Amino acid sequence: MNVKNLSVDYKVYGGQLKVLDGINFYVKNNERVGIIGETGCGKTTAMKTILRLQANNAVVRQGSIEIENSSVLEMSDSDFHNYRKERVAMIFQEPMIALNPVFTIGQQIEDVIRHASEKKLKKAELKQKARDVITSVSLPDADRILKNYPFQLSGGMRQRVCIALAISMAKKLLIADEPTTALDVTIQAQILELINQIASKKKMSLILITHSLGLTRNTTDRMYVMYAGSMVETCSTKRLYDNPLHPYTVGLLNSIPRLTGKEFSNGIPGRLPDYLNPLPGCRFQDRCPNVMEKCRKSKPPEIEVEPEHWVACYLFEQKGDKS
Amino acid sequence: MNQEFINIKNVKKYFHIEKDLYVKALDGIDLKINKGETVGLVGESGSGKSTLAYTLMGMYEPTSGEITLKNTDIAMKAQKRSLSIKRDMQIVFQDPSGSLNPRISISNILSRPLLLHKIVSKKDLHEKLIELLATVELPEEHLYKFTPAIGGGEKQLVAIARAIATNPEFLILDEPTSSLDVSVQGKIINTLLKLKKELNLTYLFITHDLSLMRNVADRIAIMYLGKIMELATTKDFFENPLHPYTKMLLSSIPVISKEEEQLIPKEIKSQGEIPSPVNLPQGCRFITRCPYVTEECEKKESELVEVEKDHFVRCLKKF
Repeated sequence: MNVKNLSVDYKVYGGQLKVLDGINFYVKNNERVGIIGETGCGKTTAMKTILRLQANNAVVRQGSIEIENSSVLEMSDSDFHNYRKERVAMIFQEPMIALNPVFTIGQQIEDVIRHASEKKLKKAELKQKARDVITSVSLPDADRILKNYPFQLSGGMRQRVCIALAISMAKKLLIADEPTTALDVTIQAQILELINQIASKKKMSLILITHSLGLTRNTTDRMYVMYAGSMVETCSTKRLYDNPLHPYTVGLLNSIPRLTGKEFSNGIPGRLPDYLNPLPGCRFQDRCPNVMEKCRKSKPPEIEVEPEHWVACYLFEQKGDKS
Repeated sequence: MNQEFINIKNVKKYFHIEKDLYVKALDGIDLKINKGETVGLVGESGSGKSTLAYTLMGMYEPTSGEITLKNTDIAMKAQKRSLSIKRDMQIVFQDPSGSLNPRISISNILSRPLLLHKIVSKKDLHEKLIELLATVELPEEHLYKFTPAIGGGEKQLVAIARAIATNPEFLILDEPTSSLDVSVQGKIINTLLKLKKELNLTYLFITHDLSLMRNVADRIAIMYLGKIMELATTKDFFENPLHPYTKMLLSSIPVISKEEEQLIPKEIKSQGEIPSPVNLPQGCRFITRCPYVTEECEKKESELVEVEKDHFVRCLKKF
């Protein structure tokens, strides 16, 4: 998948919220990519645009999205529909809202399977497939769960069902949008391991969206750091933790409390900029400790500091010129 | 310094659902909190940590058990408590957008406790308000703002300012940063630590974030289905965790560096989920998820035993 210079606005009373400001990113086959960012930085907007699930008031101002060399934004609705059901799947943040409370788990899974399969399936076949899907996410007692309604299951089980729904047909790309925020740490660990296992077993690419830097460390190969609608840094996961460069990434990593009990910083002062009338230049300028004259005038380009390590910051314009 | 400050003895809180069914939210809690220390309370959702906080604050009346604050009985609803007890205990809630009224100005929010407890006269009110905001490092102009106009971190600072307005001795912090982004969490925590030193406060700090606990608490208590499973000093807790549940919690923490990884117990993996507090399992309540279950565990539940000095564990295993 390849996303180029994507900008998305939301039309609201009083103007347009310029949420996504020209983001670029790509995902290779079999790659596990993490997207990190705080509340309101546009992570979910980006993913919804990829799946064409945007809200009614969202407008794609510019840019292109390509999945396997076909352009997502230019496809007709029905083409895209077919395309999406074969290739892309998404796990949503809140499993209680993602599942329909008035249908049983069985009905919902069978719907997905029926919709996604090419030939018509018999009832018994459908049942069997639904049962397989439930067992594949290591849920015990599949027959009982298929008869249950979502509210009869616990949070962890519901999220497993959502994963089951997402992977029920062979897919190429799995998008997990904060799959564990609503869950406890012990369950979080289990769910992440499950997603990881399934992605590698089915040879899927994975996009893991989260605000917790701890989660991506063991689950992803490459990371994007997002701030206020722009990608500020991207590199391999290991490098990001060992050698973060962008002032926002550094600030973010420093504000995480450590198990070793080392002191942690005061965090990053200020808050997200106004999307309605964004200031010209870098969107991090008001919170950046090393802001320069230049940053206020124009948006910094993405600079390749080392191979595969891109930073959108003027600090790294010339190598060795870090002041 | 080690004067007995808060003493919780065998406190139970059952919520009635129907006929003979009860949710045993607190099922016999024993905890002493000394003056000037920070006790961390950790547990998954449904373990009863918020119920304990609300029972201490008098939002619930305990079903049975004793709670004393400086030897005064406070095992009752807040309405029955004297004004001076209410002044001495305050709470900061998880979500400041929910706990602060969006329709009244911050000046109004902060004046209420000051006037109710007669901390200042009306004449000096304005000065005191500015001073309060200054203690949490917010500028004066915030007095005239309404809470929807300020960021989440700033809102939580206002909630903290409101809690310390009455000069309390004891503060309950119910997940004060879990609704905030990490980049603002640091500011809140450092402010809380600073205030504790300056005002000589005692904290009961509730959170599910163990890495955060490592940095703020003096002692840590782990709760599971209404009971304390392990209680130890922070150092002991992380260097020598004993209860299988504690190890499971620690092994689930996502960490960001190699040094941290070494502190995580490897021998145990997270499995299963917390059962419903309506139908507790027979015997030990952790039996459904514990990898070391023996026959004995199914028969009876262990007491909270002091294994080492100041290190209590509720488990039948020999340590």
